Amino acid sequence: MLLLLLQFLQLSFILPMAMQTVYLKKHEGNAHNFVGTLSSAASAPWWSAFGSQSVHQGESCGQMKPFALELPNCIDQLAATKLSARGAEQVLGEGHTTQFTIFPDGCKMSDDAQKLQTTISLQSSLTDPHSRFEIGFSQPMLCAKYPYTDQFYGLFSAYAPQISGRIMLPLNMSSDDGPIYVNAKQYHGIIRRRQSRAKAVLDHKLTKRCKPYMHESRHLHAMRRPRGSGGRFLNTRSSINGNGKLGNEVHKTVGEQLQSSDSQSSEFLQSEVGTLNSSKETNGSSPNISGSEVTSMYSRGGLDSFSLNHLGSAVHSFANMIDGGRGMIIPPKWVAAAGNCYNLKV
Amino acid sequence: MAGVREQDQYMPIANVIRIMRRILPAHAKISDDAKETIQECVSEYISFITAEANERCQREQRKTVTAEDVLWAMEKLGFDNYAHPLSLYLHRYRKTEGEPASARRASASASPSMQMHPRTHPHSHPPNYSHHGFGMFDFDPSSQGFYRDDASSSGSGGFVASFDPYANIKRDPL
Repeated sequence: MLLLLLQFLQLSFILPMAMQTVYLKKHEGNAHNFVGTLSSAASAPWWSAFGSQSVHQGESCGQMKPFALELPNCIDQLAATKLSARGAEQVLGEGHTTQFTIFPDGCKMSDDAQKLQTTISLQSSLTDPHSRFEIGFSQPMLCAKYPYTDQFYGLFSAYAPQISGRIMLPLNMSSDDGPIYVNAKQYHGIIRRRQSRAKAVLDHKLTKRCKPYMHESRHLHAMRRPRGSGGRFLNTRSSINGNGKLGNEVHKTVGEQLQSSDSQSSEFLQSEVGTLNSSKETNGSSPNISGSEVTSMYSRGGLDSFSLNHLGSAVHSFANMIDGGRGMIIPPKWVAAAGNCYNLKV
Repeated sequence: MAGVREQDQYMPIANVIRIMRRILPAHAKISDDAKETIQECVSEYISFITAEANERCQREQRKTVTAEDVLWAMEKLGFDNYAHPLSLYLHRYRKTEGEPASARRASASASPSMQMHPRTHPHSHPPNYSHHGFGMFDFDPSSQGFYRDDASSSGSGGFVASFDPYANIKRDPL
């Protein structure tokens, strides 16, 4: 009930914003000039320049009066765009089509929940012309820092088609390869993800030392099982065959061994430490085995295999956003290697 | 969260390999480096978008990350080419498979080979994965066309597509 009321309140703001969008279209020249100013500025003055022109959204009521004066000139545009808006009613278009699709919905004021959800999803795209409209009047006012950042990103995405290529930002954080340029839209997200990964690495170190195994009950069961010379488990089907076989037969042997024993995790970890070749064969046979528990075990096995085989290898070519955080990836591998050293004692 | 388990950091590599194999010929092989690279890329992509969606939920004081939040986050981060096909997919999915969530779970349990490992995201609270979420991906022809572009982007798109339908189910108790 409360959620529906909140959506209704958001719906009531759609009509004035759509009308402002129509008014904005006539001032395209002002927007273009601002783009020129934006591209010529450096990084630090860039933020301050935009800050001086930021306007709180509460001013939207006051902006209605200038629109009334321009009303006769906009009637033709309304008639033309309304026809195209009906055609794009079911499809979420881009650019101006998206902006004018909201206008008929505002007039209808329907109570259909499906349309309300569609309107709510378009709410974020409507914010962009609102910010752009405010900048056209260049009124100096200050507002809270966080909504200002949100408006800026929305504004920047609106300007993106007019600028050839994307504007890139140098990262403030120190990196080994020097400054790395990323998409301006993703800068804030990448910084947040770096902090999350650093925090996860610290938590990972704490939990990794406490538990070198995944399941407590399986660990206890494995500790109670009798072991032979070399630490291998006794009473397994493949103990008679030994490890001499290669190729597909090793596939079946390892798979059968995993399915038969209850402590699959401990058995798999121990066999992996013994022979790396067996680990590679097991990774190759992963599509044949189903089940969420086996999948989880293979996920861990893959990580251990990666740590053992590629500790001294070159850095991989990751995607752009992972490339920025390459320094963060190395500690988990070392922690995994330490985990393997600890498993040898078990 | 208090403790982030190791198996929660990455997607299960068996599922990642299965998705990679779907567009490769039967005799093709995938190196271990490629598997691990795609696994890390896919996991980071999911965390990247979900963190952005979660930030919007925290700003609006909501606890449930919905499909609209995910689409909004993709558009804000510049993944417009992904958000548009996914919005079409979501719209078509809700039109055909909207209400009967329990019936879908009952029908999906008939195919255990489609199961995915349930896991919780460490930094936000998106809905958990389940088997029918992955199965829903095969229904949409536009996603299939979208899937054919190249391996890594289709892998990412596939997982995000499987993420959306479950958010719709999650909204029922509200």
